[in-house]
Amino acid sequence: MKTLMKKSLKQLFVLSLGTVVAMVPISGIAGEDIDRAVEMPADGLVQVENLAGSIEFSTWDKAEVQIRGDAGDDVEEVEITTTSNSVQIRVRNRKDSRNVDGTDLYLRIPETASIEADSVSADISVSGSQGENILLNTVSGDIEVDASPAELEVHSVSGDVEYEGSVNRSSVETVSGEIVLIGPTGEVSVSTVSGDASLEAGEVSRGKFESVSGDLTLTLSVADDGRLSCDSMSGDVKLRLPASQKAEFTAQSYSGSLNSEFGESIRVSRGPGVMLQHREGDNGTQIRLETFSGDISIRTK
Amino acid sequence: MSPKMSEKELLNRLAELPREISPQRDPWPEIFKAIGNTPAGSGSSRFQTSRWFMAVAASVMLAVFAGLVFQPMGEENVVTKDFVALNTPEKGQVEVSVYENTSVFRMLNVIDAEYLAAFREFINTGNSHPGLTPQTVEKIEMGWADLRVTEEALAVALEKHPDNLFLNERMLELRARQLGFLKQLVSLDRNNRRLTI
Repeated sequence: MKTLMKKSLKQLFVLSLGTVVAMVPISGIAGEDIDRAVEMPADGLVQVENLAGSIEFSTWDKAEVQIRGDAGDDVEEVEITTTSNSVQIRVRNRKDSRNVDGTDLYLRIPETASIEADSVSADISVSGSQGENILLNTVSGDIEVDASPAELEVHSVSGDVEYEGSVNRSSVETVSGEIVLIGPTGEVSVSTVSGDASLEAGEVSRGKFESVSGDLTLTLSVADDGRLSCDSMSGDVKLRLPASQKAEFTAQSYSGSLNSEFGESIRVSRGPGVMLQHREGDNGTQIRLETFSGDISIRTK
Repeated sequence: MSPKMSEKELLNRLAELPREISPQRDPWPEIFKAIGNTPAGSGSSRFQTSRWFMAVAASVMLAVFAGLVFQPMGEENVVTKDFVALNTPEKGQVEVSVYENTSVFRMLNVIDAEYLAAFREFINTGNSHPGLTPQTVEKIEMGWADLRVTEEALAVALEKHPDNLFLNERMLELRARQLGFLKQLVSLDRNNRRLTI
């Protein structure tokens, strides 16, 4: 996550250094249609800020961004800024508006462009992107991504997050939003407070999953020398692994149950709780699961 | 944890620490002074939000202090005692032990400043428009409530088994999550305000 943030800062820095080719404010367009197209490098960055409504990214094979949409009634201007390697689109609402009428933005971007989008309540969807990275922030909007970037980073408070595709480094954080991830591999990090998280992944080299009361349901395999850690307070942890998975397993719960098809759980000798310590093969892989009151189950696929 | 100190040594040190200590410093008057200087909310939503922020703030203070309690101490750090009374909107006065040494005390001042800065940001969030919808605030509150319920359950378990390493680690982890929760909200709030103000 930090890596991606650093990259974003770097991109912003480069953006600030880059020559501003054009700034096109589309003023006084409240309630009107938006329809613009601007050229950009195929591997450039598309940044979008839209408070409410929706942001939809789809891709095409042109080195160009097409911006279409329906401006909300409170829109003062849509600011489009282009530099040598990026396009920034900002929907500016009138400052005196208390309840913002949402603006729907539909963007077609180069397939290999990177994406950054910020919203408060706007839903965000991305499909088809194969850019370097995708960074999405929302408070209450839902996020849906069907893409295969090199890196994915998503932050949401109450919005749900759905991802499907192939990504080798992913990080998703929510407070109460549900998380469903299908297809990530490599480094995967998921953190939630009360939202449930479900993962159907390929081979994971570094997996870190944290929850307070949300359930973690994970189906994956862990690479040789890989690390998988699952920490939950009251949420259940359900882990499904290939029957051939080799690893050193450690699991412990204070008041939850522990069921495993890899080794036998035993009562903790001092104090309450159950624990499991089991080694399957010797490939350097470590799998650790811990809960306070949540149940732990480790099953084969 | 310091690589030089084993978990057992840390636990032994924790067990040796006093449970109650006399107050020397109470940061809350300053905090409430800061709160008092902010514009008063007019709507019930703002009041609710403010209460929520207060709850977050109080808990973060608890988290910060607890973080200090569980912070591993090197040989050079001689532990002295301190005690802080926190006024929380939910439970009234809560007494929190703080283990203080010179470096920790310096850290405490820094954290106080960071905390106040973060808190002011939350106050601004409550006043920003369009602000968060009541549904969003409710969901955030529920998330925070989950953290608090878990915290209470852990505290009960720790009362029964104060030397249980696993429980102490869970509490430490929970504190980290509480701080992480706040940081995440601050970060998202920055976006919110950047887009709206």
